[in-house]
Amino acid sequence: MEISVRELRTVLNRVVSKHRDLQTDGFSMESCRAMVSLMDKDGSARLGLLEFQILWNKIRKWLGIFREFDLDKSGCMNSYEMRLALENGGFKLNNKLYQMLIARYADNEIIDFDNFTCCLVKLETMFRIFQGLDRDGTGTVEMNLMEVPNLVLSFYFTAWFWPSGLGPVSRSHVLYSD
Amino acid sequence: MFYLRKVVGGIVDVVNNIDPEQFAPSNPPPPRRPTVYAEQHENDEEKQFRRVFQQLAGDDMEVSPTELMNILNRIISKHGDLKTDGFSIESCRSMVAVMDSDSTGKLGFHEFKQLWNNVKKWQGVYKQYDADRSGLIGADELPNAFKAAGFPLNDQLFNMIIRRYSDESGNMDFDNYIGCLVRLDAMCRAFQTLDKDKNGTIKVNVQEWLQLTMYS
Repeated sequence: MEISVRELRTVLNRVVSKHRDLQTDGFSMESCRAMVSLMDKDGSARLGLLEFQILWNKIRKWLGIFREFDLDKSGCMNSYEMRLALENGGFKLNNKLYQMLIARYADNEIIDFDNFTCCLVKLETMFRIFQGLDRDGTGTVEMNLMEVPNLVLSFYFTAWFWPSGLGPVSRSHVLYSD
Repeated sequence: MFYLRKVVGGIVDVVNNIDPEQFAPSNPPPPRRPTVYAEQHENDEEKQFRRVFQQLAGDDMEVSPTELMNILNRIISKHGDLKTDGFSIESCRSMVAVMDSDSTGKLGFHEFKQLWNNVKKWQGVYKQYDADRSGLIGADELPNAFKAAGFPLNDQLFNMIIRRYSDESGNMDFDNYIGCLVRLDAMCRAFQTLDKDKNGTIKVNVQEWLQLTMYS
C-alpha cells in the first residue's frame, strides 16, 4: 500500500482543482518526485501511509499560509506576499535568498501554489540537512570539497520526515538574517 | 532519513577512493564586461554566437527557461542518435537557476554561453560513450561517461544517480544526462569558489548554505 510519484501527482492535482481560489498549472512530476524523495524514509521511492499523512498535513498547513498571505486574493503570490508567507512559515531569510527564490520559483514574478509548495519542501529539507551537519549547533558547517558531489546527489534522496536520531525540529525555523 | 543518515553519519564512506585531481568542474563564467567592449573584441565565431543568442533571447536580452527549452528541443530533434523524451520546463528552470549568477531568473549572454559550451562538450562525451549506439547511456556506460565529463565518482554515487535519473532498465537518456551534469557541475563550482584559501575545505553558515543549495 504505497503511493508512487505519479499517483501522488494525480491525487494532488485532483485536490487542488477543487480549490478554485488557487492558481496552479498543476503539480509537475519533478515537484512530486522531490516530495516523494524528500519524504522517503525507507528508500523505496514510494510513500507509505504514514509518510503520506505527514506530507498531507504539511501541504494543508502551507495551503493555509498561502491563502492567508495572498493579500490581493489573486490565487498566487507576488514577491511581497511570498516574503510574508515564508516568514510566517518560519523562515527568516536574507534579501539575496528571497531574490533567488523568486527567480527560481516564479513565472513572470508570481508564484503559483504548486511552485510555492515545491519551494517550501526544498527549503525545509535544506534547512534540516544543515542542522544535521551542524552537530555542535554553532551555526556553521565545515565540509571537505570532496563531499560535495555526494551531498548534492543525496539532496534528491533525502526524506524530510522527522528523522529519528536528529530529534524534533524546533517549531520556529528562525534563521539568522543579516 | 534514509540516505541522509548515511551521509551525515559517515557510514557511506564515498570519498575515500576519489582522486581530487580528477575532479574537473568547468571554470566559472568570465566577469561581465560592458557590451560595447565585448563586441569590439570578439572574433567571427563569437560574433556569430552572439547573433544566435540575440535571436534566441528576444527583446529582454536574456534567455528564459522556456526559450532554453525550445532551443534545446529543437536541436535534439536534429540529432537522431540522441534518445530523449525532450527537455522539460522544470529541468530547464533548474538549469537556468543554477547558471543564473545574478539571480535575474534568466540567462545573460555569458551565462548562456557557458551553459552552451558545457552542453556541447557533454554531448560529445555522451556520443562517445554510448558504446552500443542505443542513443542511451546504459548503467555500464555511465561511469565512464561521467568520468570523461569531469566527474569520477564511485559506485555508490553512480547507483544514486542511476536511481534518480535513469529508467527501469538503468538507462539514462540525453536530457537526464545533461540535467544531471549541469547541476552537478554548477554546484561543485559554487562550493569551490567558497574555498578562498584553496585548502579543500569550506565553512558555511545557514544563509550561505541555502544560497548554494536552493536553486537546484
